[in-house]
Amino acid sequence: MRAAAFDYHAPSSLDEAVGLLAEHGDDARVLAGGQSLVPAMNSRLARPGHVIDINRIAHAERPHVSAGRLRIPPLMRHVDFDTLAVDGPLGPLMRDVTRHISHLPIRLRGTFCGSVANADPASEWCLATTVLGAEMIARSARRGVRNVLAKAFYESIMTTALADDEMLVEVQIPLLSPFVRYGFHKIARRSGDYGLALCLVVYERDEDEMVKVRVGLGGVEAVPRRLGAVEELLERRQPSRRLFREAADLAAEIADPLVTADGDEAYQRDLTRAVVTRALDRSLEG
Amino acid sequence: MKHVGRSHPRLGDTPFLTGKAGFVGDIALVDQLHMRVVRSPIAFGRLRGIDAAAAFAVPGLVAVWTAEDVAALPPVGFRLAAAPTLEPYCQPVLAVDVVRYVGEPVAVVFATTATAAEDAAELVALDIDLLAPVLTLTGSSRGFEGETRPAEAATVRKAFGDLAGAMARADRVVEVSVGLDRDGAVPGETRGVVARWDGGRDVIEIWGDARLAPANRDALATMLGRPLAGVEINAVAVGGDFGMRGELYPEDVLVAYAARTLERPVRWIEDRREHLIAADQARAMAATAKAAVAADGRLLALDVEFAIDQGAYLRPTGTMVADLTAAMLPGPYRLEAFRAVGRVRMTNRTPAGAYRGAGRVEATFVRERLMDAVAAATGSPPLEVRRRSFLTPEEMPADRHMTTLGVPMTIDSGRYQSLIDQLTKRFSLELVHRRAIDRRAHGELAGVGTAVFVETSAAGKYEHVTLSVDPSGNLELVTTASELGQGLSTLLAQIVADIVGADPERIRVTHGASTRLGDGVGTFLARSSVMAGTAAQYAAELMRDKILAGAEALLEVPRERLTIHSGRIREADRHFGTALELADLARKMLPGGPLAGADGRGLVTEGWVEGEGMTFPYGVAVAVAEIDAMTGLVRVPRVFIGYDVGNAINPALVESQIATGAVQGLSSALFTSLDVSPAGEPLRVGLTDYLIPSATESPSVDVLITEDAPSLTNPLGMKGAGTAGVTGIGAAVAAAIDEALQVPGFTTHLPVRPVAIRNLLRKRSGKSERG
Repeated sequence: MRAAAFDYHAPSSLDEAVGLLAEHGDDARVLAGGQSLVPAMNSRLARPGHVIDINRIAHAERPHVSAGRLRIPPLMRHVDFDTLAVDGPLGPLMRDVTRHISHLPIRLRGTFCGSVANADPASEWCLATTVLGAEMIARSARRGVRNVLAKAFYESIMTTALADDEMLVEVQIPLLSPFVRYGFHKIARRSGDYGLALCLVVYERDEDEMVKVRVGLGGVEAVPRRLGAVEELLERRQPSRRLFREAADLAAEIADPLVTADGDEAYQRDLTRAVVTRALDRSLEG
Repeated sequence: MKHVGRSHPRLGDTPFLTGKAGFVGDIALVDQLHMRVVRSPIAFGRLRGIDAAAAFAVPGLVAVWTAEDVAALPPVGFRLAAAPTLEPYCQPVLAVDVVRYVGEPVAVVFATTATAAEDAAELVALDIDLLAPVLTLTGSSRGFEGETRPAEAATVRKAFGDLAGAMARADRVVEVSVGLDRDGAVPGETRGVVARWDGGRDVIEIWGDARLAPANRDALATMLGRPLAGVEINAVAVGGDFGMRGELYPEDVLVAYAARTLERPVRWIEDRREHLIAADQARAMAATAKAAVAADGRLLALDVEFAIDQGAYLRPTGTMVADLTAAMLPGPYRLEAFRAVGRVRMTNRTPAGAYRGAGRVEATFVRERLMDAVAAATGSPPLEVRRRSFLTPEEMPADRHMTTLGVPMTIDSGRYQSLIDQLTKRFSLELVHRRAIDRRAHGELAGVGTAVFVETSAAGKYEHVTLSVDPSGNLELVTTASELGQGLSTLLAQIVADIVGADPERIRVTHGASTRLGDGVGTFLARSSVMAGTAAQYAAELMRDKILAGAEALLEVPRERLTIHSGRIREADRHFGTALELADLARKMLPGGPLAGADGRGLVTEGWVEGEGMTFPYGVAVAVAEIDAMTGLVRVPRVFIGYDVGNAINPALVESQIATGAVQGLSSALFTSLDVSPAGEPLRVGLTDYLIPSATESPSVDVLITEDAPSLTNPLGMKGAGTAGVTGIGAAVAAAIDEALQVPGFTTHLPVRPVAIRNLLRKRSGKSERG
């Protein structure tokens, strides 16, 4: 349980960090909160030759809002969302979601951007960024900065669109309208575990109807995904338990589940039905 | 003030709370080497060769050993339940020619740092020809090609009465097939051992778990060809034992041997992955059980065949688990006839050993699942079925007409129905049942299950303690029994305090002290409170006599008129003044002095107790289960346990034993199992896959302790409590789930898999289940 030997770098600027990435490519890993990387290295499942610790980058930015977007810098810890002040429902949404992430000691160190770049299929943030239409800002020393939409960012299990020499330097999430309602639900064996299934539902209320419906499913498939057919079913409809059950049934039908040690395909569909039902139900609470 | 029977605060916890306690990982010796074990990645195969050349390139590497280098060492032998026919199943300290489970030690690497040892171990290349592994009990001995040993290492048979006659007279015969998956103790602290050869004294000094220090010292000395005095095991603080730790492992032998051979201190600290694949596992078994039931609903006979998944080798506990499982199957019930056949089956899994509740957990699950099946078959309430067949207090002591672990089995005492009645009244269990019925009427899946169990404790030979008073008036009790967090030190201090007339805080209990006492047995099968407690009682009684004799001579007051209280000796009929401080007396009674007592040893006494048979405590476990219909996830919000401990020396300690055991039992019932892939590769290799319940998932545990059936085997009437909490939970949770689902006999295996519950519910209500 001791990491294989590696070279440790502690750059003091982003320029320096991406410079190191350009130099070492796929033999380098960025260390932010370290809550996934360090255990993986200790069990020698991850063996980077170079670790680029970005925690010493002195002028680490604070999260801020500009041009209608919440801009999340690389070192924003999960726990920082507990006290994030953002106009509209986005702040409460992010606060609800962050409280489902693991346990407090891990939330104190783990970072938002680290989770996004790690791309665990059951990551709360990977689901949230997918549903909320986030844009990932990737930077490399040679090609500069580019923006990648969430739905193009997550490619497969633990795999993103980031090139070997690119670092995720910011995530931008559009603010939510004040008319937005949302519901988040996670099914896990134990409190704080990675979810067996997660669902985030976001829509606006127009009179009695739901519009701009977004339904995202996490944990069940290889990457978090918006369920377009379910969204269409709910669009311009009045919320009702019966409609929600119908939507959940549809979600269970169209999901493309991974089979795990703890559940076969039928069970994964059951979990999908349950998690979508409960996220939708929750959107009516409060 | 009397101390026995009070929930005296635990003594000796301060070092743990202030970070002062020394665990094996805290020990660092000058010039030490770190050992790393190269383990088989293959479940079954022929070991063609080992190439360690690349490892020698790692800076700091000192040695790499394979089986050839340790050819002088015999395999790890037996501590209990041994037989010459079992010897082919003993584990060599390093694999010879064949690897039999993933995790088996194949080579060891010694280096100057732990990291160098790990780096080097990775570079040791193993050439293994794959053979087809046997991973379950369902396969026969077929498929064990390439193996020279029969797949059935031993067959345990126990029987009494006329089984065929009872079966023929039965109104009906009820049968169940049930089983448990593999689990393990998985304590907070993994294994570890440090050893040093002191060349000046020619002694191998060992630091580690001392639960079985005398037995392990003797075994190591024999294996290493040394006199007993040439091996010393020193107790350190341990973060959980539960029967898994403490038994002699290949790693212990390797560390001790290397310390002597390399003439440098050697340290081995297991990592979590190693722990989950290489430390003793337990529980895996399958059983078919039949009950012959009379027309009036009474049990006539039990006939049980079971198989234990022993894994690749037998451990020092030999066939103990199978033996105890067979012996404990009748439980609290009156039977005309009984037969148990237990097969110890070898598989290509990690060796199985003892784990808290060994044999009792298994037997209770089989028997109580069968009793619930009898209830369902006869249409009687589960508790009524049990009541009809309980042995009554008038039938005690009840001869079971068989032996276990070589000891005749006579249940010393028990008032089973009374315990159920008291538990029901104390926690208003009628209301708990009614609430579950009400919840089901409202469409929820909630249920209550009950299991009754008989425990066993205090097995084993003898126990020896010494007690002394030093010149400052402090007492020391020395025992080889171990404090493993269960509170033994507190309990022994309470017993001594009452008899001698001293404050428990002035009594230091030195435990696991095989370096101080040549003999002693150690801690297992919930024996220590009974055995060491009785020995302490005897030593304290002798001490009181000595103190009073000395005081009589000094004060010239007849001893009948003297009392001892809080370490002060005074005349019983005077309310004021201390005639003599214990410290003053101790100084005047120094060994060899004029007042040194009849034996001339001063204030030193010994307590010796020999095994007078086992005690049989008993209990009832009641669990409430609620099931999330949409996900099949089970929650157990409440557990109630009633337990008769004969004499509760410290009720709070008994309660904490029971509550923690209950959570451990719940873990095996719902959350944890040590699964493998079809190739035999462990799937639970870290605490993110091996789901130990946290506080959030743990039930509230209500405990009722009774003292209605004191043991006849020891003067204080004590019975053990170390395993009480864990024994009945699995069976109770299974029954509660059945009731919640309203499907009797649904739960045949633990842990209960949410997938299985969903499969049932899906079938039951067609395609779309509503929750």
